[in-house]
Parts: sequence; C-alpha cells; structure tokens
Amino acid sequence: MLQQIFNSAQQKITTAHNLNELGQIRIEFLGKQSQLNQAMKKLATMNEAERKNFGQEINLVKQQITELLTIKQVTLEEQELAARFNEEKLDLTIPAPLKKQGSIHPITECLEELIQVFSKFGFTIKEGPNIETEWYNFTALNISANHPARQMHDTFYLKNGEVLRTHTSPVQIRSMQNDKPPFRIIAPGKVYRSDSDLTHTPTFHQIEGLVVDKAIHMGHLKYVITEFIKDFFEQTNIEVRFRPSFFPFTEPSAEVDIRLQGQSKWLEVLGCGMVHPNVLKNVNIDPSEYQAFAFGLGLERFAMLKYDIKDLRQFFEGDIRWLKHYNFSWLEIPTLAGGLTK
Amino acid sequence: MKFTLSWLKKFLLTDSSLAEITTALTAIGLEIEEVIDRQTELKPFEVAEIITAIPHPAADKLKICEVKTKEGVLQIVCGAANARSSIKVVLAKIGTEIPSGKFKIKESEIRGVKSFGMLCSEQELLIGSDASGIIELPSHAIIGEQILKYYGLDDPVIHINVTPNRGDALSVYGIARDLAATGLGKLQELEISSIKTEFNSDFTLRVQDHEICPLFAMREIRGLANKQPPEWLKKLLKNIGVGSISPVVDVTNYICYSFGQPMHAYDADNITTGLTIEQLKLVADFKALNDKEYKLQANDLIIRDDKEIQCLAGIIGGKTSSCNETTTRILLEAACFDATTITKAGRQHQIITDSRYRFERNIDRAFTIKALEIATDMILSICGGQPSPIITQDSNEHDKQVIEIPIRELINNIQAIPTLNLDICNTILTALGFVTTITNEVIKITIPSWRHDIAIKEDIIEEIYRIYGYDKIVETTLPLIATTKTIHKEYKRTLDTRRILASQGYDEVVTWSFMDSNIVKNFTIPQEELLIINPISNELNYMRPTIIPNLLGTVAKNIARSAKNLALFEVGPVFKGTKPEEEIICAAGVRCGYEVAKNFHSPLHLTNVFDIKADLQTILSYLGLAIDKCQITPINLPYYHPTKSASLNLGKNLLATFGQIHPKILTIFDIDCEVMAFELNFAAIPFGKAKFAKRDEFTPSDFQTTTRDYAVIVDKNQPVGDLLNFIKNVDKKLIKSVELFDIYSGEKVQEGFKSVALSVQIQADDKTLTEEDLNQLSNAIILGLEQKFMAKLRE
Repeated sequence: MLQQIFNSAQQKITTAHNLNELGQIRIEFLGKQSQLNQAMKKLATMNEAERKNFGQEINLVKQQITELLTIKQVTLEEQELAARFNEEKLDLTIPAPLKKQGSIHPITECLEELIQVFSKFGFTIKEGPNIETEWYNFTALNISANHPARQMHDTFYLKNGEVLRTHTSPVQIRSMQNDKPPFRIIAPGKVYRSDSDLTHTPTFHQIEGLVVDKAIHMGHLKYVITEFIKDFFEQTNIEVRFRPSFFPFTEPSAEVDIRLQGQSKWLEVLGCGMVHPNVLKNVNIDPSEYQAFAFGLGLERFAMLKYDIKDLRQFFEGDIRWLKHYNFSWLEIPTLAGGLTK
Repeated sequence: MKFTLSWLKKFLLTDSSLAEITTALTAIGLEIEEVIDRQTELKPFEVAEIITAIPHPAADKLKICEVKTKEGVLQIVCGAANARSSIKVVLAKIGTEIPSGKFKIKESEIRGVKSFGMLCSEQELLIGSDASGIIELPSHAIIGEQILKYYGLDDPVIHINVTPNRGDALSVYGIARDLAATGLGKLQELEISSIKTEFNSDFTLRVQDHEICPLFAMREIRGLANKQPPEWLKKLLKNIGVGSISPVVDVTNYICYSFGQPMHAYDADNITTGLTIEQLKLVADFKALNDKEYKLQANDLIIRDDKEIQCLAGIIGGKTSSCNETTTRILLEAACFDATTITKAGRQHQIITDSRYRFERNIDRAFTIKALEIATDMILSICGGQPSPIITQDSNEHDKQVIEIPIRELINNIQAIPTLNLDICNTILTALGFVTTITNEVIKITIPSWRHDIAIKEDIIEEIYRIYGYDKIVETTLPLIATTKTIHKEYKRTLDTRRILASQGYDEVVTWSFMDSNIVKNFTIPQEELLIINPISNELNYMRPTIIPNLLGTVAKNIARSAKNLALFEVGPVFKGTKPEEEIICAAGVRCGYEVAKNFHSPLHLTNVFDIKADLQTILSYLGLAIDKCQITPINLPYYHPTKSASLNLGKNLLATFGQIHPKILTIFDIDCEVMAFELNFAAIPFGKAKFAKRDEFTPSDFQTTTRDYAVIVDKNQPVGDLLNFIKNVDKKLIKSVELFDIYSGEKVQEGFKSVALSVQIQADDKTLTEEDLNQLSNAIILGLEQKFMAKLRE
C-alpha cells in the first residue's frame, strides 16, 4: 500500500504544473487527511515489532515524498520566475525621463572662482550701493570736477544728481570710512557706463580689491596680482606684465597685461596702483602711517578669457541657447581644495 | 599721439632698433597702440617705365606693355586705363606678394599673351584707396629704385596712447626726453637761432585777463613768397595723417607735434589794428576755419581784432583771417591758455582739435617763446619775408614748484625695487629734467615747467619706478593677518540660493538693472528720483523696482525663438529709492511651459503656482525657515493674477511674493502662455539659530505610530493651510504630521462648500498611546475644527 501511495505521489508531483497544484499535492499526501497520516493512526494498534517496522516504512515514504516535493518546488519556482522575467521585459533603448537641469551664469561662476582665489590672501567681501553720490564715486577718489569721466556721455545720472557707480571703487571709500586698518577687502558688483556697442555694455561687473596695512608697497601689489592671475587661470607659465599708467586715485599706477601660454599677444586685464594719499586723507587715514594698494578688474573680461567666450553682449541677452552652451552645472562649485574648474 | 621713427630721431640720438624703441615706450607708460611699418612688405616693389603700350589683340581693355626695369625689358599685360608709354610706374616682379589680397605674382598667359609681372595701383599696395589706375610716379623717379621713399613709407609710424596726465608726452620732443632717460639714446639739445628783426609791427596786443591767458606772444611777418612746403615736412605730416596746406600752416602743425606748443597764424591783411584776448560778455556768432558756424557763449575766451572774433582761443581760428597759399603777411601766435577754460569751451562747442587737446592737458609755458622763434626761423627759410620783434604780454611767471623729500623717506619708499639707490634715482630725475639738490638729509627736487602732473612725493616715486622699469619690482608676500571668512553670511545666501535654484531646474540669467519707465507703470507707481536722465535708450531709463519685468522680457525673447519651456532666475539689486538702504538684493524666478518635455513615461505637466511655491519653499528651507512659520496671504500687486498669487510674510516682514503673472502683463510682453513668478528679499529672512552646524539631539521614538484620516466639509473659501496649521497646534508633541490628500467639491457636497481630506500621524515619544488617548486627541481635533472653522465631519 505504501508503495502505491508513493507511486501515486510521485506521478502527481512529476506532472504538477504550478506551485499551487504542488501545494494541493503536499496536503493530499502529507496533510492531516492523507492516507499516510491515516496509516500512522494504525500504529497504535500494532505490537511493538510491527509498529517499529511499519513506522519506519511510513517515515521513509514521507521523507521520499517531501524530497520530491522540495525538488519540484525549486523547479517550479525557477520556472515561474523565468516566466515573470519574460513578462516584465523592457526595451532599455527607450530614452529615460530626464529631470530638467538648471545652470549657473558664467559671471557668477567667474565671481565664485575669483572669490576662492582671493580668499587665499585673506580678503573679505564688502558691498556698496549701485546708486552712489558724486562724492563717493568721484570726489573722494581724487577725480576732479573737470575729469572727462564726469561728463554725461560716460556716466549715468539720476534725477536728483546721484550717479550709477562707474566702478566698484566707491566701496573702497565706504570700507575705509567704516573699518579700522589693517584690512583686505574685495568688492564685487555691478557698474554702469553710458556706453553700448559691440564691446561695451551699459552694465558690467567688477571686483575691486583693497589692502590697507603698514609698510605696504608695490612689491606686495605685484605679488598679489601675479599670484591671483596664475591661480585664476590655473596656469603657472602665464606671463604677467606691469606697465605704468594713470588713474586719479592711485599713484604710482599700473596697468597689467597677461600673455597666456602659447600666445603672442599681450592682453590688458586690470588696472591697479598704490592708493593716492589724497584718497587716504579723504577717509582720515594717515598716509604716513598706513599705505594701501588697490586694483579693479572686469569680471566679464576674465570670464571671456578663461572660458573662451567671444561676444560680450550675449552675457546679458538671456538667450536660452547661449545659456545652455556657456552656463555651468550647479554642481561645479569652485573651491581651492578641489580646483576651480573640472 | 602719432609720430614717425625719423621724426623721433630728429630729437633722440640713438642706434636702437624700432622694436627696442617700441618696447621701451610701453615700459615707460607710453603704451604702443600701433606700429605701422611697411618697409618689409613694400621693399620688393621697384620703379619701372613703360616704353610702349599697345592694345591687346584679343581684349579691348587690356594693353601689352614693354616695361623697362633694372634687369631689362619685360612684357606685362595691364588692364589700367592710364597705362601708356613714358610713365614711371610701380613694378611687382614675379614672386612678389601683393599686399592687398596677399597673392604672389606668377608668370602667366592672358588671352594668349605672356605677362611677366604686374604694374600696381595704390589700392593694391594698400597705400591709398585709388584703384582706378596704376600709380604714376614722378618723372624723376629712378628705374630700379625701391618705391618706399617716394611715399615716405621708409619711415615707420608709431601710435602711442598718452594718459591724460602726460601733456608733455604729446610732443615728439617730450617722448624723446622720456626715452633718453631710460638710457636708450641721447636727447638732442635744441639750437634756437636768434631772429634778426627788420621792422616794428603796428599791430597792438591787449590781454584782458592774465589768469586765463598768462602768456600771449605774436609777431608779424611780411613779404612771404608763395612757395611749396618742403617735401620732408609734407611727408612727416602725411605719415601721421595730417594734410599739407601751406608752408605757414604746415610749420605751425610741425611745431605743435614736435614741441607740444599749439600755434596759430592769422592772415594779417584781414586783421584790423591788433588783437584783444578777452572773455565774451554776450553770445556771439563765429565762423571757424573749418567752415562751421558756432554760437559762442558768454565767458568763452576769444581773440578779436577791431571788427570781429578772429579765434576761439586755444581751440580753432576764424575763417576771415585764415591763411592760404596767397597769404603774404601773417601774425604768428604762440600763447598759453588756462586748461579749464579751454576744456569747457571745447566741450560746449564740441570742437576737437590738436590745439585744444594740448591746452586741456597744460602746455610748457617756458617753451612758448622758443616755439615762436623756431617757427619763425622755419617760415623764413621756406618763404623768405621780414619778421617784426615779438609782441608779448606775459604775467609774472609762477614760482617753480619744489618738492623736498627726506632721503630716508625716499629710500623707504623705493623698497619695492631693491636694486634702486639714491644715485640711480638722481640720475633718472635729472634725465627727465628735474633739477635736484642733495644735502645730507634731504633731496630737493625742482619740477620742470612741462610736468604739470608732479606735485607730491608719490609722483616722484612713480617717475623713478616708471623709468627704471616696473619689471624690476620684486614680488613681496603680504604680512600675516588674522584670518576671517572671505564670504560673509549675507553674501553666502545669495550665492547658495543661485545653486539651489539651478538644482531645481532654473537657468541663471543676468539682465540690466534698468528698465522702461513706461512698463514700470504696470508694476508700481514710478518715482521721479529713479529716472536716469541720460539713458542709453528710453527702454532702459528707470532703475528696476523688481526683477520680474526683466525676466518676462527675457521669457518673451526666448518664446519668440521657440523656446517655450523655461525656468529662469536672477539674483541682483532692485531699487525702492535712491538711498543705499533702499537698494535690496532679491532673487527672482519665472517658470512657464512644461517642466519636462513631451515624453514616453509620464503625462505632460504644465507649470503651475504650486511648482513655484515649492521652489520658494526649497530655498527657505535651506535658509533655515519652515514655510509653515510664515503667513501666506493674498496680495494686491498689479502684476500678479489677483486670485492666484500670495505674499509670504513673517510678522511684519514681507519675505517674498509668488503667483501667476497677470494676463494683462503678459499681453504687454507679448507672451501667450501662463507664467509663474516669485521674488524673494534676502534681507527679510532671519538667520537660523544653528551655529557651526550644531544639531539638537537625535531622539527617535520607537513607539507605535497611528494614522487617523478625517474628511471635513468647510466653506469653499476656507484656506486649507489654516486647517493644517490648526491641527498641528492641537498637540504639538503628539501630532507628528498633517497631510492633505484630497479636496473635493461636487455632487456629493453642498454648494458653497468643499470636502477636505486630511491624514494625521500621531505618535508619543514615551509610550504607546491607548485607544482612549487617541480618541481624546481625535475629539479635540474634531471639536476644534467644528468650532473654529464651522467644519462638519463628513459621514
């Protein structure tokens, strides 16, 4: 009889189609109502020898059936998984839904690069208003009333006589009025000139730098300028040239040219100099005790040179095609430790 | 300032090359703008002569020329109408490169006739614009000679930028002096021959104000013969772009460029009695020698005779007494005028002349008489004639300015160049014309009459550095300083916010700080004080009170270029008034179109107000402010959709506005899709309390969380945010979150009402809540909603 049961079980297990059926088979042959379980109940009526013998036989059959079930179970599970995979098959050449990526304007990127570079020398950021008085923008900076910059064709004037600052230099004056030397500041911001053609825009951006300390001289100025230019352009073999120039608010004054590796032309990049004693006197700093140097550079100029951007006017157009081309990923955060650019 | 190499070498004895000279000029602050040196390029071109020119048998317009050259006769086919026998021409031999077009001449066959070279036009050599025919050289030109000298092109032209402080460098002599100081050559001493005067002039001179005209000198010259200016003088002037007019005018120009002293010559036959120099009292008409009429103003400095105004002093002469080739008697003027007066008049009348340019930058008053003598000498040698003595009005000369610098201080101030010493400084200053006296302790420096830019010690230091060379300044590291953060926290927020917005899909733009005052009216009430009185254009004449209009302008331009799905932002100033504190740094953004373009995976999502609210919330959350701490109330701003916009306030402070842009505004900008916008004022957002990234202790609760859902019916206009805030505050400890999951109004809800479905998450930190605890809390919520919002629990 046991052999019959086993044969029947073996036959059913072999032909089971799915896990569900297999479950039924398990109940049929190993469940409470199964013939084997019924047979077990007969053991109680047998003598010890018979019981031992018969018990062992039943257990053996149970064990064999269980084994068959387990093997079949694994097989069926594999089959079902394979069927599911087949069902779930995806065409992965289909384009993925991309999240729209935003971007950072080259002026901001260049600004952040320069901030990092200047942080090395202990500069801190100062800001000042875009709408300035003539005193802060001109007079305090030793720019005489007759200076051509004060003419209407260079400077924007407001109704009540204020000007749109023509440079970030008035921030120097405001800082020197408010802070006690020594200090080192950079003042980034928008500046305005009444000029609009292929290479001029009525607004552009500058960074002003100012160092006030004891015993400061042009050697310090040359050091800071040379170092920061090399750092910013991430080139050590860049050539830097200082040549005498004139600004009313510095004496001596210099213009700085650079020559990038492999190029023949010198490019003018910034103006600088030792702060004119009249300017220091205007903010009650004693020029015999403190000396200062200052520099001013155009952000757009630096961005154009470093990123190879040709057209200045496009910076302010907001043309999405241009932005997609020249803007930076928001993750490209310039740092000194990790490098300014990728 | 333009001059030629040979001109410079009249005053600078030097063996230096052109390259050495130009390098030195830039190094001493006389920056090279351009050097035009055509010697190399034009060297191969030679003088030749056409012997015969016969028509080409196969082409009407071509001629076959037999051309005599240094190396024999060549056959050249030429298309120029003026090609004919017996003229001297410019020959380009085979292998020569033609400057215009940069092509090389080859042996060729033109319609069956061989041609062995080319005869050139001015245009082909880039020495003139005439392309109508070939160049005809003077008949005395010698066959085989280089053509360079016939055009004065053997003399390189140097163009330098002179900074406004350096009036003395607006003369070739002044430039030579600077170069000599660097050791590049020796400055030529000027020999001024004394003029033998032959009669006393009857002309009178009256100078009314010696402040404005400290020196006026003139001389009459009679009996001038009608002569041509010498070739060398014509060539020098031509090379710097000045046309030759007459010997007298050419000489005055030569003196002006050589020595920086502007001069003027009056045709004396048209001058009555004499000259008076005075300021105009009334408006007057004046016809200048440029044939233009000017309305002169009171206080303009003029020179007049008994009849009329003959000159706008220092700027331009009058038509009546201007000199031409028939002039035989002149009054020759050399004077010194006040720079400010000249500047004012020049600007007022917008007359740009070399004379004005030099007077504005101050001239060397000590040279004025010398210039008159040199000019007289030159005119006499060209045209003959008899000079009168100089008639002059000279105020007492100003004291020469002296700077005294303690030697210790001077040494202290030249530290940036360690190789400098007192001796070198002294040599440099002396070479520049400063007179120095050195005692044990002090160097006394007398400033030369031509250096109006030197007044203080620092100016002297610059002179020494400039001539010695900025390249010799030694880089010196900065002294140590207590380290501080470069980026202060207010500034950091403006930088971080840009990157947050970019991470939310926004592209950063930078627009102007100004906008159109006509458009402003639609955004706010314009204030007079924010108008720019001299704008670039009327569209850019008002300081923007908000960034949004400029962003809308940018959106419109992009939509016009078919870019319709946009998210743009800008961080920058807006202006509520002209005072510094009325300038506010804002971040503003706009969104329109679809956030994700049409795709296979998800249905299109058109940007809506909640997208922009989410962006705002993301920024605020980063800045440490939870949006539910803020009050969101409707705003009444004319540029927002009146029922789809709000302000975000914290107490009295307006932090931000957001919403959909008003359809009428969109019409103004010609935008045909919905646009969402926000603007946020950084200064109004408080700084979070957390310092140095310190956090509260982490105390997770492992006790059971229960979620209870409520559906309540409230008035249709009841803000849902209030319900959420209310529930959170019923028990701040137990209620962990309140989520809105449905708002319904329709058939199943009475008209004028809506059903709001909320999910409340409840958890205690110290125990598992019992059914009783939960019911108690739940009852409190329901009761509160009923009492506060007249809400009914939905069955």
